[in-house]
Amino acid sequence: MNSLEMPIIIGGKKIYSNSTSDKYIFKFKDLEVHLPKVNDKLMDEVKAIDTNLMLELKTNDILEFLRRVGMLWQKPDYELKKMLYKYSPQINGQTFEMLKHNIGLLIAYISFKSYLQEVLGSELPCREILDDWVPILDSEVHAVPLGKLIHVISGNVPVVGAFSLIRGILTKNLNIAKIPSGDILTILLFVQSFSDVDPDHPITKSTSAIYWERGEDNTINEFLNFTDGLCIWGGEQSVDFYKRKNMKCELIEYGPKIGMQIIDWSAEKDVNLPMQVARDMSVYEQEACLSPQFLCLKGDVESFVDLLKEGLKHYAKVWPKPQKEIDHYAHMNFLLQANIFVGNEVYKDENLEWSIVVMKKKDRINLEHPLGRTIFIYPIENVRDSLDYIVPNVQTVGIAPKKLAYELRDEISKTGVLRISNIGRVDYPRLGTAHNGVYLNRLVKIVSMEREKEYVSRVFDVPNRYFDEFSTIF
Amino acid sequence: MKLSDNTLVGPEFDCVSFQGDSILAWNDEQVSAYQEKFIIEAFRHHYSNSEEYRKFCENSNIGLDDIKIKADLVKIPQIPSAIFKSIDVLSIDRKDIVKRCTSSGTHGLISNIYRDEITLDRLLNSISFGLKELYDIDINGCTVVNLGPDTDEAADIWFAYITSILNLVLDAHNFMVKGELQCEAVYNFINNNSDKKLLILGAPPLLLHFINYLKDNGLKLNLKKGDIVKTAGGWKKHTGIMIERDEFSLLMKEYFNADEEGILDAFNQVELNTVVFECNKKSKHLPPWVKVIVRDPYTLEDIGYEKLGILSYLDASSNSYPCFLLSDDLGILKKDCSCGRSGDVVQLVRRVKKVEAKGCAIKIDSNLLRRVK
Repeated sequence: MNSLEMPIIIGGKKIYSNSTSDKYIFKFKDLEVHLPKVNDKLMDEVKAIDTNLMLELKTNDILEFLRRVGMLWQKPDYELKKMLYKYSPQINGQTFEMLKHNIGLLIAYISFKSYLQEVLGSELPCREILDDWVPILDSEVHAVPLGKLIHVISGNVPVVGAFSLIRGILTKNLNIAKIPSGDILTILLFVQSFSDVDPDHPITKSTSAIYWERGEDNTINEFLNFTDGLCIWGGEQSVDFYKRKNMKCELIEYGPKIGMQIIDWSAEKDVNLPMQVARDMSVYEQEACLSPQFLCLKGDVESFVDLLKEGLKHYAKVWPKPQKEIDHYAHMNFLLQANIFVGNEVYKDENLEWSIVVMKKKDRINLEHPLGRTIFIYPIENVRDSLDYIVPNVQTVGIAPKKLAYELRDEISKTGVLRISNIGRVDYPRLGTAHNGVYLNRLVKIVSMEREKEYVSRVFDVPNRYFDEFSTIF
Repeated sequence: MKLSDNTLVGPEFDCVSFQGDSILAWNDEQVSAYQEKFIIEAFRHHYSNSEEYRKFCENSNIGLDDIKIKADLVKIPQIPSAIFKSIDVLSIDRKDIVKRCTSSGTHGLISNIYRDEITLDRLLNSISFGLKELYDIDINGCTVVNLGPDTDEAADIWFAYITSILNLVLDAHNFMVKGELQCEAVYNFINNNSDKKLLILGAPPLLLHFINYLKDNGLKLNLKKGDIVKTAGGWKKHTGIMIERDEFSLLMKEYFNADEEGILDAFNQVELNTVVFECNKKSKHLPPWVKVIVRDPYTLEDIGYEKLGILSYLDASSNSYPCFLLSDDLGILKKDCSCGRSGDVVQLVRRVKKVEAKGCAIKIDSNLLRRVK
């Protein structure tokens, strides 16, 4: 059994455990990972990190730092990347291929300064607002960070933690990543790599990656008491756990949600579409809130299913399904057998790499979705019937063809859906898209200074004597 | 034993199963002959009388002619437990239902199982059978201390109901009133009846509650050899206080003076029509009318003995619904037991984890799609 002694990071410093009693031990098949606990002394060190460090930076300094981190991770022989590729499949169950895809997404996100500038520009009133006072009508406004942000990260999609952290950094917050038990390495190595870029950089010195367990109420409460914002990515239990803590800080919640698709299809018009559906089903093993779990299909179901099967076979080679516990396969079989019982059509790969259930009956079985590449197809006569299937908790709706998205978007936006995506690109939110309805403005406060009384940016046409009655006020 | 070919399944089943010789001493051939006859007859009965089940068989490409011999038993379509949480599955007229049985709904949804008189009688017989065959307890042969409610208070809740009906076959006393375990009454009753053979029965959380009462009041019981402490029903929603079986046994030894061989467990789930009892070697013995097939979680194929897989059941004792189940449990099937009884024993290992999504996805289920018009 290999043993991996990992540090936690506090303000850029690597902290290793001194003894067996002050560390967590994570056991995997052929690997043990050790991670230090946060004791009182370390807690004080986290609290002592100066939030002003980030305020010294201009946005360009931040973008440049992130670009350098991206360059580092692009290097094939970068030690931490090699370490991630070596150990991560054992820890988070991701296949090497999916891990590579995720790291590729992360590098792409941070390596282009102009891209991140556009992110800032699209998600804040203007990108200069972080560095300066910006005139807006009769005021000048400036965005200041919330302060200390804790990111409670889920382990399902490795890039999610880094994505959350980067958004906190972009908005000049001091950031503490809570390492997910399901994916210990990704965020930890990402934060560790900051020191390789510049150990004295304010971003390095203001970023931490620590761990706690669900039952450690004292530690958790102490962290939550000094934080200004909590970004939670996680499943129902995790989100509920923190919500019950009655925190006074800003809560920025991502999930739990589901994805679905609405498709008006004919093979003549778009023979590749089922392949794109297979891609969206496969990319995050349906563990992400944007991943489709069911779709409404107008068109020839039989030929669609035939092509979808081919697509799923293809993506089983591109991104092999990670080896899961036997429970997952048992769960899939329960679901498939139950659907056979009620008369739905069931298609499955012999190794349960994927499955498709065509819903002939609207009665559903009281059984949860097993995730891991299973999709329910609801045949519909009219595309507007799909609106009945948009249930609470649907976050992302992929729609094809595009003109159907324009046709349905007003109705869909009334249902609570937060993103209408392109099918086959569910993991590439386009610029301007808000994740789970949250823009960067949630991570800052806008401070306003009103201009002099005499300063007038707009003149309003007011009927004569309109304010006479209120002349003492004006 | 020779099985007749042309008698009705009902009376013969009951006669052979519950009134014959010790069937846990049967050899493999006898068990095979029994199962070939009665499980196949049960299949034919449910196929012919349950529309839902027949459709399931048709959807699984199984017809009456496909199930003829013992080797065909593994092909009998088995219903996932989840179906009973969604659909009423019946092989009888509704007017013949005498008891609606529901699961405790640990995970939010409850199973509904409808039993007629025949089915309920056989369930009770399976209890009598287990007590007699495994503990040599006959009618009025022992006094039951049930840490549960009486039949009225138990209502449809399966585990509470099944323990409460013991008074139909034994001298049973119930000690839960309006949801409160009467610990003092239990303690006094046991002390006042120490001359009788006692069977203390309760779900693990209730027994632990009683132990804590004894601990808090500085009391201990003094059970004698031959008395039995029987757990059943599992920890359900009380997983927060769950302790390992070994540790639990130590507590029972300390506070009850229980004999190791007298600390035993029993298994049942609302969808199964048989209570499976544990012998003093801690093996759960299957009566011949229940065939357990351990299935590969990937392929659902029969993987035989000594391998971990999904436990599935073919229980011939049900008349009112097809008791052919694909359960939510993982376990192992074993052959024979050091206690000397023959036949299969089943070891339940754990529930299949249908865990919460790790990530930001919520898994869609019927609660979400129930709103679909």
